[in-house]
Amino acid sequence: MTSMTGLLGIIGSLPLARQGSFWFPPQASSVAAGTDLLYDIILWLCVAFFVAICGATALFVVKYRKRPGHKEEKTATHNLMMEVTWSVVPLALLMVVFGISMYWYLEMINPPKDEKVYDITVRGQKWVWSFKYDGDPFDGQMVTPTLHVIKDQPYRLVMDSPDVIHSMYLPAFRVKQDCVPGRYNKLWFRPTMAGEFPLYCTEYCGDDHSNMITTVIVHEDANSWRDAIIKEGDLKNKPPLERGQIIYERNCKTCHTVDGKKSTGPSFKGIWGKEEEMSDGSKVLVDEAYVRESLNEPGKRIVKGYPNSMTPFKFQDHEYEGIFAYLKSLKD
Amino acid sequence: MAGGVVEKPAGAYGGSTKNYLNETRGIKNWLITLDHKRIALMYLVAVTSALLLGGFFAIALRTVLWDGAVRDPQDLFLGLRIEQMYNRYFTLHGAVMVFLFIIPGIPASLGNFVLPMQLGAKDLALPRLNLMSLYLYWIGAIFFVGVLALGGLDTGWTLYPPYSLGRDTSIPLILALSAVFILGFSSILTGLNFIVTMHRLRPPGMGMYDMPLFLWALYATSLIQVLATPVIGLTLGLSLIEHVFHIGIFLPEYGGDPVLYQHFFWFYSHPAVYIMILPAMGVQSELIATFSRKHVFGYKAIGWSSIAIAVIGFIVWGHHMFVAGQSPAAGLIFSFLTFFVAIPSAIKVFNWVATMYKGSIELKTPMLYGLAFMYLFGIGGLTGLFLASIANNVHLHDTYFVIAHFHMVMVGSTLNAFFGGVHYWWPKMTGRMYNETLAKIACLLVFVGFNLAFMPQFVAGTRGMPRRYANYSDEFTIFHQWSTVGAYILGAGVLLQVIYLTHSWFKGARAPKNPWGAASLEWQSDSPPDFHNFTKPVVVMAAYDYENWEYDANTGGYELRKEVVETGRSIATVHN
Repeated sequence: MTSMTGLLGIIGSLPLARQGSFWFPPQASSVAAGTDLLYDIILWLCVAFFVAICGATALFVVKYRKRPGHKEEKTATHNLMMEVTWSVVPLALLMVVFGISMYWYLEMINPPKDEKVYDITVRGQKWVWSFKYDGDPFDGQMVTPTLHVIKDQPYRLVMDSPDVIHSMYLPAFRVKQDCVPGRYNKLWFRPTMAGEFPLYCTEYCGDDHSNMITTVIVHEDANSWRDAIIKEGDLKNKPPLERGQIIYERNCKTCHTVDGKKSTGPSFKGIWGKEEEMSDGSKVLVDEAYVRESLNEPGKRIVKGYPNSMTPFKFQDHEYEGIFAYLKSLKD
Repeated sequence: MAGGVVEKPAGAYGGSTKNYLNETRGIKNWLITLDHKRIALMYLVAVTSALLLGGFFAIALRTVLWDGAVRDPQDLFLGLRIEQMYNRYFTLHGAVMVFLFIIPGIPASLGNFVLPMQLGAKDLALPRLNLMSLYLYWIGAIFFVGVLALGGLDTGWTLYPPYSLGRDTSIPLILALSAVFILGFSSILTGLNFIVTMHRLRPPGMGMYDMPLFLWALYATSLIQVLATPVIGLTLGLSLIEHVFHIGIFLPEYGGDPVLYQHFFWFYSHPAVYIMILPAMGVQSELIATFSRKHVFGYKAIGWSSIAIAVIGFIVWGHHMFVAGQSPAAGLIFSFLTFFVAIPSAIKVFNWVATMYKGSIELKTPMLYGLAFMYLFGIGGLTGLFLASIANNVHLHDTYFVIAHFHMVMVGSTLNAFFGGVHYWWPKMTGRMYNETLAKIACLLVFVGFNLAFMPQFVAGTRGMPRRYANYSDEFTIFHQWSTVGAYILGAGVLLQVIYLTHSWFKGARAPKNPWGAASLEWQSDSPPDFHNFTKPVVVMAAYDYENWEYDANTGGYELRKEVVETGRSIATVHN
């Protein structure tokens, strides 16, 4: 068993097709080469069986086609040896496939024990991703809409969702895990190639499911990684209006316009200080209190004529400050 | 034997002029009929309509996906954003195809017609229950039409909470849930009826091992229908309790767990996948044997592999939750078990190939579908191995690879076998032949269309194209465009079928009793059959005793040999 796993480990690290191939995106994580090899093994097994089945079918169709002078022959109606053979041989092959698959699956789910694994909290919500860096040097103080990681460093992601189920999919890493509300799912990976790769949502989550896309950026070194996170995640040092605008662009833009056009939610143009009619007929003044309530508990009071489909947000004080400033700026 | 045997004057084509179609007239006589043949025909019209409706949505969504990389997000179509439109299309496509076409498709239409006749019986054991199944189906279908009329649904056919059940429940959602519940009962009743019929109405001299393999497949299907379908009803019931009493079951806001719903849902829906494919495999066994004029090879292996698939189908549902947060140990166990489905499926395929050995293979339209089935099911089944392997599944889960795989199995194999079965039993059901040339062209279009539509999706999926996406990045454009072209070709093939089959219904040449030389008992009836199914005593024989029949140039079909008719006994020397 150890020799087999050792061999698989070596094969898995061969630099084959790292930049992507006809079938695959680039192999940018520690498990990609191994699972791709497994894919190829299954592919060739399938090709062999498929060619055999279709070849025999085609051969028989030609050879035994109905034609004058040709008559069917009686042959055995069963043959135990043959039937046992064509049941047991595929089963044995499949058990080998299962064994290899189990090896790589265990690699995928067990983060290394003898190394420091960096923790990132992932939140998938309609229809944005956010990544919070829990280890040094940010201690959970930085949140970015793209995922930044360093090459060859292991990461553990703790994932959840405040609204519906989402799924984080990194094709280049060959990993995927659902973000399920009410649960914390976990995922680990070790990127092995610097660059930018797409990150998709693969669990259907509503209107903008197909726009819930971001990028994972694999940095060569810790410095460029830290700078990039600060550049994206540090809003505190920006003036409130700019802060608000950035938050809007990242989180609200999909459903709320700023030009007065109706979208999934009401437009923000001129909404500040306005009295809006709610779905229950009551009237509410759009001010700090209502905006904050709408962010935290969006379903509580819905503006008339719009669906109850917004995801809840929790922000920090300086972020609310920015949001209010930005909404006020859209008054006219 | 059940049912009266009434002697009637023979008509010009060896059949009586009076048959089940013209026995009584008027819409009322059809609506209250207990005749399995009429019910089957009404099912056939209904499921074909559902197929066309589901196909319309397929064409619509493939059209949306033609240029999904260059979309303006502000584009509106009928007041909806393209994404919203697309989400409704794929939901309705899936729901209509699964619940209204592919689950009831073969059993309720072809099975209903053929099953009693293959037993030499007059009807199903419980004809009233059969009519009730049809009515439940209609009610479910009307509910789905209601969903459409009220603006559609965008939850996906799987209805995962909290997206579907968690929000304010809309009327279309309630209608859709009720429809699934009601259609479930239709399915349970049909299954129950089939099982009882196969046990109670076999004629003297016909054991279980003498039945055509189509019936073994229907038996396995019925087992699943009766045992698995109640679970979907329970799931919807639990969801209702949760909504009314706020007891946490599926929704996190009450302390429930959405993944629990997935377990319940797939505990039904995975076996339901075999409800879809098993009858198709049954049709395939009939087609291959008949058109090779060969006794089926490994009869018992094929029959029992149907039962094995049904049983194994109950213990693999967890492979739908490999990335949902199920424990890794459970994931590995479900992956391990899933591989075992491959074995009985492979056994069937090998047996079909072996059946053709040294046969006399006639490439009539039904056989062409049978050959296409080998190819398409080959791809569909084998690509299941990639998904059963959990390490690859993590990458391929919810991508176009999955879409391609299950379409190859469901559309490629099941729909293909449905077409094959319809072309095979059409002369019996309608008493008419169809235009063989057009039928072959349609078969070719369908085959080419399938391949073009779904083969590129395997590549797109492996390269990382997620499913249920209205938009996609430019690298996937080429795959989507091939796929869309394929869908149009497939659509053209289906339309051609509708045209020549409609023509055949009214104007087609009269069909002989047994145009293919098949040996199962339904071919001893006239085409179309008498109201009582058989006008002469049926000669009971095992399903693949082709020697009892010989070609008669006068009728253009096969007739029972004289000595068989005279003695009332099979002269065959080979038995199952």
